[in-house]
Formats: sequence, C-alpha cells, structure tokens
Amino acid sequence: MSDYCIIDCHAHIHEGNFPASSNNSLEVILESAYKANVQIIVSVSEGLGDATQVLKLASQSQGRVKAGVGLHPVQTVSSNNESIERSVTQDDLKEFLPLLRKCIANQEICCVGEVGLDFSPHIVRGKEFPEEHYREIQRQVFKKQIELAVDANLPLNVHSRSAGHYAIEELQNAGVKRAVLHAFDGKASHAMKGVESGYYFSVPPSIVRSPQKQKLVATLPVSHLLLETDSPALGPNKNEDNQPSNAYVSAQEIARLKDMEVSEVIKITEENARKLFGFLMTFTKFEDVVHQIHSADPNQVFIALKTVKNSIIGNRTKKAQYAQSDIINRLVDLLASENNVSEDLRIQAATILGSFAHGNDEIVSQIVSAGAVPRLLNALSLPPNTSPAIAVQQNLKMLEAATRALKAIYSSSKSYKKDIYDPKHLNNIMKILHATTSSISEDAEHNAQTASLVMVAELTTSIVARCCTTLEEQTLLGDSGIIPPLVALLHSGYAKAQEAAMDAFSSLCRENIDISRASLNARAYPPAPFGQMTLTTMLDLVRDKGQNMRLAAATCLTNIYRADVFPEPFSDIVLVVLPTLIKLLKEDNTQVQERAPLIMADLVKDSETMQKAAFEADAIPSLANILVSVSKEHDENNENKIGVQGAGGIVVSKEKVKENSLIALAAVCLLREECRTQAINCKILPCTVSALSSTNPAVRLAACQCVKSLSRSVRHLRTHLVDAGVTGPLLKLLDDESPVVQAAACGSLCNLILDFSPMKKTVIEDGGLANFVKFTHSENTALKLNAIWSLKNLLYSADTETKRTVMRQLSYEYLIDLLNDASVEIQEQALDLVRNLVCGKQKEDIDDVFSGMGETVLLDILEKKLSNSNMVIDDGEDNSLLTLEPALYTLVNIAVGSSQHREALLKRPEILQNIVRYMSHEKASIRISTAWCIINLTWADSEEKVPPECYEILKDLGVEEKLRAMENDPERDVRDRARTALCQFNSLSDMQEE
Amino acid sequence: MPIPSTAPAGLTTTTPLPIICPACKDASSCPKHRCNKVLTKSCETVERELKTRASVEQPRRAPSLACRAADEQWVDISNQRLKSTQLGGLYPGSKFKGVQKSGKTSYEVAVKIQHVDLAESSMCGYLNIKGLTTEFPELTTFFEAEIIGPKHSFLTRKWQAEEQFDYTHWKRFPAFQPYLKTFNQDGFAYDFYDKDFVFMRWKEHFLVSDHHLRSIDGASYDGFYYICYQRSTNQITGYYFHHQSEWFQHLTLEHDNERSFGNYEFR
Repeated sequence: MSDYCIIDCHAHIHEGNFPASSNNSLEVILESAYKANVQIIVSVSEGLGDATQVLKLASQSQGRVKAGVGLHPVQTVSSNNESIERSVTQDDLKEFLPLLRKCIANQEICCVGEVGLDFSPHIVRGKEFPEEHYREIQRQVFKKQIELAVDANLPLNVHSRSAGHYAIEELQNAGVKRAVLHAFDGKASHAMKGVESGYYFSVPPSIVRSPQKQKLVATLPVSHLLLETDSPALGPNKNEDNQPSNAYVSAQEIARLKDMEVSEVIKITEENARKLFGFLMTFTKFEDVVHQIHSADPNQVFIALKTVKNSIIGNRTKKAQYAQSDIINRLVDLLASENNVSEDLRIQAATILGSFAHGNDEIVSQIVSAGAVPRLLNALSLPPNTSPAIAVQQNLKMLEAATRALKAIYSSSKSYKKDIYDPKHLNNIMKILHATTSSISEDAEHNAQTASLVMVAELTTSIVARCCTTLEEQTLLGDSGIIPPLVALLHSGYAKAQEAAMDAFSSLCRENIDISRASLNARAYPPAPFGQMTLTTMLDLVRDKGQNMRLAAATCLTNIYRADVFPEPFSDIVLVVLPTLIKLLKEDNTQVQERAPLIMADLVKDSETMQKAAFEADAIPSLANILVSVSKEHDENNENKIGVQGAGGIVVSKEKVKENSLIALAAVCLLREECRTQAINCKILPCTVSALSSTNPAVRLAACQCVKSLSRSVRHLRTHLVDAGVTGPLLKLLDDESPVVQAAACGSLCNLILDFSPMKKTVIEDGGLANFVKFTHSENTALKLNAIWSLKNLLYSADTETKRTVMRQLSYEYLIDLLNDASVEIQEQALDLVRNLVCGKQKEDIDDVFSGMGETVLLDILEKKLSNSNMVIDDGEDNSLLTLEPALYTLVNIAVGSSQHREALLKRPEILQNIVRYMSHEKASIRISTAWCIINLTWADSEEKVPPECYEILKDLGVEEKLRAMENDPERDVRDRARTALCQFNSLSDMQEE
Repeated sequence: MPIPSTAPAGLTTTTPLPIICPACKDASSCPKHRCNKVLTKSCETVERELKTRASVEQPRRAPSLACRAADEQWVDISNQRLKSTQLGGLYPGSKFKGVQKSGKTSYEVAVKIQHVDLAESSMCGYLNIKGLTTEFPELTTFFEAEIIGPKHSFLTRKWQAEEQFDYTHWKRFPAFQPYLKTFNQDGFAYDFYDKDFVFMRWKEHFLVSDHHLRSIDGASYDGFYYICYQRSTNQITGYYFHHQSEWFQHLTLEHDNERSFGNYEFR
C-alpha cells in the first residue's frame, strides 16, 4: 500500500447514490476509501436534486469530500415511475443558477461540475427539434456555467461524451485555464489539444476494460492525468457499483501503460489534482484530526493516526503544524504498554514518531522531552518465556517501527543518547541483534520475513552506531558481546545492513585499540558464509561497487587505522583505502563528495607518511578540483547541479563540500612542502582567499586552516601567499563574530608575522599587533594561545625597538601572569616569548626584561620551571617538558649578556644545580641547551670578562665530570657542544691556577 | 630536533603494535602484512623519519574530524607540531659569512638559514652576495637546500646536472672520497644524521627583494651549489654549477659565532 494520498477527482458521492440502508452505505464506502488511501473525493452534482446532498456531505466530511456543483448536459427525470434521460433545457438552467451562484459566493465548492456536452444520439436526437437545437442549448448552458467558473476562478469538471473536441473547443474559446475532462472518450489527437491548453484528463477504473481509454492514456503525458472513479458508475467490472477506493485500479493501469511505479503515478496525479483544484496540503481540518486522535474509540484513533502519518511524510510544514499541537504527547502515551493499547496502535504511534523525528532537529527535541525514548526502548523488550529468535519473529512489526523511530531520533544532535546503556535496554538490544543476525545467516531464503529481520538488524545496528561516542560506551558495548552479531551482519550480504555494521564498527573502533583489534580478528560465527577475517571483509567492501558502501568501509578502516592497530605504513591503508577515498572524490554524489574529503583528512592529518602517500596517489589535484569547481559554480549562479533536494539543501551541501575540501587540503598540506607546492600550483589560493570572506562561518574556519597549512613555508610566504592577498581578509577575521574563527585566523597570522614573511609589517600596522595583545586576555583558550604564539613569532629576530613596542602594549606585569598561566601550553609560548626578548647581541634587551619584570621575579619563574620539570608525571603526557627547553634557552640567552647578567645567574644555586642535572636529560636537545649554558657562562672575549667566582661554583657542581660524560654522548651535536664547553671550562681552570 | 639518546625505548611508544593474525601466526608471510615486503627497501628511511619526528610527535591526537558533532567547537585539525629542527650549526637564524671565488675575483657572501626540516631532509635560507653587478651592489636570493641522505641521493638527476658533473663536483670535497665508488649504488643512502660532514645541494629560486623578477643583467641564479658542511668546524664549502657558467666557482663560509638562540614555530 502506498503512503501517498489518492485524490478521486470525479465521483457522485451522496446519500442518494449510496443510501444508508444498502450494503454500500456512505459510511462503508468512505471507510474503505480511507483505508485505500483515497483521502480526497471530489463529489460532483448533476442537477438541483443531488447538488444539495453533495453539499451536505462535503460540509460533514472534515474536508475529505469536496463538493462540485454544476448542471449536467443530461438530466434524468422520472415519468411514470421510469427514469428518462433527456438533454438539458434553458429552464433547467434558470432554476439551477441561483444555487450555483450561492455556492460560489459561499465558497462551498472546489469546482463547477459536472458540466459539459453530451452529443450521444439518444440524447440529442429528440423528436421535437432537430439535433442542432439540443446541441445549441447544451452549449449555452455549458457557456453560462463556464462564465461563472472563470469569474470565480474555479476549475471546471467537464463531461464530454461523444463531444470531446466540441467541449475542448468551448473551453478554449472561453479562455478557460483550469479544467478536467472526465472519462474522455474522444480521439487522443483531440485530447492532445486540451493538453496544450493545460487541461487535465481524469481516468476512471473502467479503463481496464476500455481499449480506447488505454490508448488515450498511453498517448497523454502523465503530467496531465488525474484519477477518478465516477462512482457509482464506470467501475472496473461491468454491472458492479463503483466506489472511490477503486481509484487505485486507475493508478495501477496508468502505471502499467506508462511503465512506472504505481506510487509514482499516485504521487504525480495527486500533485496534478492539487494544482488543478488548489487543494493545499492542509486539506484535512487538522483540528479535527487532533481531536480524533484523543478519541476513546480505538478505531477513530487508528483512522486519525493514518491521516497524520500520510500527511506528514516528507512534509516539513505539516510536521511543524502537527508538532505544535500536543499530538506528540499523545503518541508517546499510546506507546506505553501499560495503557492497554492495541499492538496496531502502538506500531502506528512508533511509526509516526519516527516520521516526525526524521531529519528534523526541533521536533526531535520535543519528542525527547515528551519522554518518547524510554518508551520506544521499552518497546524493544521481548516476552521472557519465549526464545529470542521466536519472540523477535512474532514482534517484527513493532521492533521495526520502534528501531526506525529510535534511529531517526538518535540521528539528531538534539537527542540524549545515554538511555540505551541502561542494562535492561542494552540487554534487549543485544538479544535482538543476536536473534536477528543468527536468523539471517541460518535462513538464506529471501522472503518478506527475512527482509524484515534484516531491516530490524540494520536499524538496531544504526542505533548502536549513533549512540557510541565515549570510551566507556565502546567498552560497555564490547563487553556486552556486540562484536559477533556485527561481524555476522557484515557478512550477511545485505548491502544496507552491511553499511550499518560498518558504521557501528566505525563508532566502536574510533580511537580504541582494544576493540579495533578484537573486531579485526573476529570471524563470523558458524555457519558463516565466508569464514574469513573481518579485516579481509572490510577491505573487500572498500572495493565494493556501491559508493556508499565504499565510503562506509573506508570510514571504518580510517577509524581503525587511527586507533594505531596497524604497523605504519600499513600497505592496505595506503594501497586500498586511500585510493578508494580519492576515487570517491570524483563521484558525482553529494553525500560522498561531502564526506570523503573529511575522512581523508582524518586519515592523513596526523601522519607525515600518509600525507606523502596521499601526495603520491594524486589526492591534491582531486581535492583542488572539487574546491575550484564548487567555488566557481557557486559564484556564477545559484542554480546548482549537485544534489536532488530543494534549492536550500543544495546550497547547504555545496557549502559543506567546500568546507570539507578546504579541511582536507589543510590536512594533506600540514607537514610536507611538496604537498603545499602542488596544492598552490593547482590554483587553490584564489578560492581559499575568497572562502576567508564566506558568509558561512564553517567555511571561513576551514579556509583559515588551509591558509595556516600553506603558510608553513618560507618560500610560499615570500611568493604566492603575499601575491594572493591573504593578509587583508585574515586581519578582518580577527573581528569575526565567531571566536573559533578568530582563533583560527590568529593561528594563520602566527605564520604571516614571521621574520621572513613580507606581510609582517602590514599585519603589525593594520591592527594585528593590537588585536594579538587584546586576545592574550581572551577567555577562549585557543584564541589566547594563538595570540601569544603570534607575539612570540613576531618577536623572533626582532630589533630592540619592536621588542619595546610590543612590551609597552602587552606589559611585563601581564607577561608574568601568562608565565604562570594555568595552561602549560600558554606558559610554553610565554617563556619562548621571553627567550626571544632576551635574544640577540643587544645587552640592553636583557636589561629591559630584568627591569621590566624584575630580575628576581624573572629568575624565580625560570627556577620554578626548571624544578617543576623534575616531577615525574605518570599519565604519559609530560607537559613539563614543554616549558623546560624554552626556560633553559632563556638562561642561555641571558648568559650571553654582560658580566652583571652572568653574575645574576651565578647567584642562583638552584638554577645552576638544575642545569647541571639536565646535562644528562634523556632528550638530546635539552642536553645541548645545558652545554650552551656552560659555554656562555664561561665565555671570555675582549668585551666581557668571566666573573671570577664562576669556575669555583661550576666546579663544585660537578660540571667537569658531566661534560666529560657528554663527550661520549651518542649524539654528535651533544659531543661537539660538550667539547667546546669543556675546552672553555679548562681554560678557566688554567686562568684560576695562574 | 635531534633524536633522544634512548632512541629504541622512545620508539616503542610510537610504534603501533602489530595485529597478531591467527590465520598464519607469522606476520611476514600473512597476506595482510604485505607491508613488511614493501618496506624492506626503505625500512631504514622510515625508521629515520620516525626518529627525527619522535621528539616532535605528540601522543595526543586531535579528535576525528568526521565524527565531531555539528556544533562542536574546534580550531586545529591536528595537534602535530612543526618545530624547527637543528643539525649542528644548521638551525633557523644561523648565519654564515665568507666568499665566493670566480677565477681571480671574489665576492662577499652571507648566508642566513631560515628553516630546517630534517624530517624532510630540507632547509632553506637567504644567500646574499655583494658586488656582483653595478646595478645591484647587493643581491639576496632565496634558496632551498636538499640534504643528501635517505631522501636525496648524491645523484642530482635535474637542473642539467648529469651524473658525470655530479661526480666531478662531489669528488672535489675530500670528505667525499670514501663514497667515490659507492655513492651511485642501489640501496646506498648517506646517513647525514650521524656524520660530521653534511652534503647538500643549494638551489636559488628567486630574489628576496622582488620574487617576480626573473632575470638580472650580469647575474644568474639558474645553477645550484654542491655543498659540504662540517659540523665540528662549522665550515661550509661549495661549488657553484651551471653548465653555461664558469665551473668550480668556490664558496667558503664560516659560521658567525652567535651564542643566543631565538625561536619561532609555524602554527
């Protein structure tokens, strides 16, 4: 059965034709029409007698029966207890017009009809007058009613038996734009003239027994067809009363003749009817439905639920309208098993909740706060006394509806995803997964039952995929035995289910080495069709025909790779997954184009080896191609070709494609110069620079990332980047409304402000410096860090004047705060900033810092950083190392200064002891810096003498022994520096002895 | 950055554990572990890469981009840092001074190193030469250096340098003598990291003052330098090569004894 709405565009539904006493009472035929999804019936009159009945029914039908009023060319009159058909007269018209005018004025009708011409011989060959007389009167009656319809802007519902092309002529002559010719029996060529004027042709079920109508339908375009029944006439079987539910027969026959899906025919004819009659999607009085849904009568509720279900499918406006009523609460109530609601109603309620939740974040919030999730999860519980396999089979419909709803809810970021971890629910989910997946693998037959089992398995797996975000959740799921059923599903051979399994593995394995390893080594439980390792299957699926499957498999393997289970470089990742992703980039599939670059970014961003592999596999030209084409199309016109949804959807997804391709380019260009060069040669800079000024903050952010990666190069800073004009747009982004974009822009400027960048001066002068200083006070740690980083980079190799300018704005007082910041990363940058301040040949630079900060304060801080680094930190991340090297090099630089500066250091035994201790630090760079400390402390030249106490102090600390040990260091650079230091130390010793 | 002295221990933390494939119990023969075969030739290279990055590499990875929530705030796509590296006197900001001799004339030359990336075996800087032409009494070019090692062989294979030119130039460095016979052999890679002598090619790319200027009267930077740097003495010697210029123009540079060290880091 179709989920669409069928509109019967022409029928004679009223008490007279379907008396209450008969088997086919109005109630019966309307009920069966409703069950057959015939949601609107246009009931037309033939004359005064039935018009009032039609109007009465329409007014009571809650919008399901729409009235058409008109005077038929053939009038049935009774004489001598006999019904006689005769041609319409002027008197009939005179009598009829007041009613028609009233109906029009009261807006009671959706069309004027049934009107028209009927030139059948038994009608127009009267005894009194020649044939032409009757024809002429019919024309006049028809014309008059046409006139009224055109004036009222109403469509005409036209009868044209044996007068097809005459009727069309009349309509055309009167300039009619909206008309339906019902049960047209003329030639197809005549009908085509009507099509040219925009008229519709409604097809009755009798088409199945009418070759003429079949020929007509085969000729006419489906865009001009409607469904009708003409009930009680023109049924599929001769001599049997017709009824609206038979409209489906017409649809079926049209589908057959046009070689289309029935659902498609129904959808198109529904749209045609809505256009013709001006029926809005809100044809049902929605208050009535809402009222009905609260009815105590389950049948009423069932009918109301069906109305809701059919009207909200794919209709955001309707969804929003219904969601505003308290219908969602009612649905949640219906779900509760304790309320003694029938299984059918509960299934409907779950289905409708799923439909509401699908792709609609706002309604999901509403559904979640109405408490739907626990209820839906409860619906997953299986009766305790039956084996799960049988219980699942018995509850398939409920399980399918509930899991579909849960999947839709969990697909939204607005949902709360912890509920499934309640042991009760988790247990149910596991039972369902085990039962469904083992039934699938045992039962190779493809029947409806299997399809349903696969569906439940797929949906349940999708739920798990969406709810698994943290390490604890991954572990919990793993411990509950999730892997075997997922492996079974992965080997099931059902593409959608396999994709779902792949998604679930992606979530489970993300950054989780244990689960990744367990998943890869798992095999499908017997009797598995393949019996091969999961890893092999995953790699097979990366080479699958379906794009979505390839993407799902590549995503999954990327997450597993990122969990560090493979020895790097793992050739299957390089030779299979990466090339697949690159090929997917070229697919004309929006979803794939959107996702693939992001997966590729994840795959390469943390590994130089992978960036190299991506370069060698030609990923960069493909990404550049996407970026360039998506930027171009977007600039040139807003009518885009990608995607199939509404215009809004396309623009959004194009923005996503742009954002993600920028991110992927940023990731590929992070570490290797050849990648940057190739990306720039692929002409990505103009697009990237214009993306910096995008109206979409996500695109601006991505563009900043890209500039940041590309600017990690002296060569490109000096050439392409300055030529591309990145400075202006980046500086503007420092005032961006989004702090994240500000931070990212600041990050890119960190590179533009370097000594060798030709843009340094512009950045400083055009507000960069002022902003960096301002942002060092930001609450946003990312922005604050990048701001200090910028200042550190700015002060690299700077002259005294620049140093003073910066420090006047930043202030030494605040620098002290930064040096003691809670974040070690900020401390590191602040220390490096001090290191750069005291660097160089100008001894006054050191004086400035000593007096600005206070000599004792500065040396206290440095001493603290050196001693903090003593602490062994167990949790693996030794952050203190970050501050150790800059602290030591600050000391190295201070020791280059005057003898006073050196004396200041020599007066700090704690500092000196630490330096000596670090001479055997495990990091060679630290050992080198300590050697430099000794070299500088003992340096003698024409300008400065070594402080006399120096030798004794260092000797007592055991420097000499340490240096001798360093002479045998495994690192050549350490040996070389130690030798120099030792040489100087020994010459001090000689001087001492003299 | 130099490698830690305890390299093997440091490596275990970054080396992923292999999957034990129950099908074969032997990683080398398992078809899923083909990488071992692929790797055999460049194994050393990869290890070196790991070593040079080891001190830079951070265990903490930036979270997955594809899995982030729609409204998640993020600034950086990766936590990997690109710290400057150092090899003896080759570090950012390091300066060398000396002369380039062409026949009987000699020119003052100053070199400033701007960036060193040992993981990429590359380096770049400025090369300043005085008195070459009257129009430009001073010229500064940007050059990139290829450090001979696992990534760059002694054979140039570009810039119009044929094998025999490579041979005649490298041979002029006494430090090259041990490699005269082996430098062209398959599988030979010079391990610059552990050696006193570091061989390089320096290729100038553009004028720092105006990168659009393609040619200057009387001066050319179409060729490149064969370079030998000695770490223990901090001396650089080199020969300029351009097939149309005078051969064996000799460059000698001494390190400018700077004893303080600033620091920058690409973000």
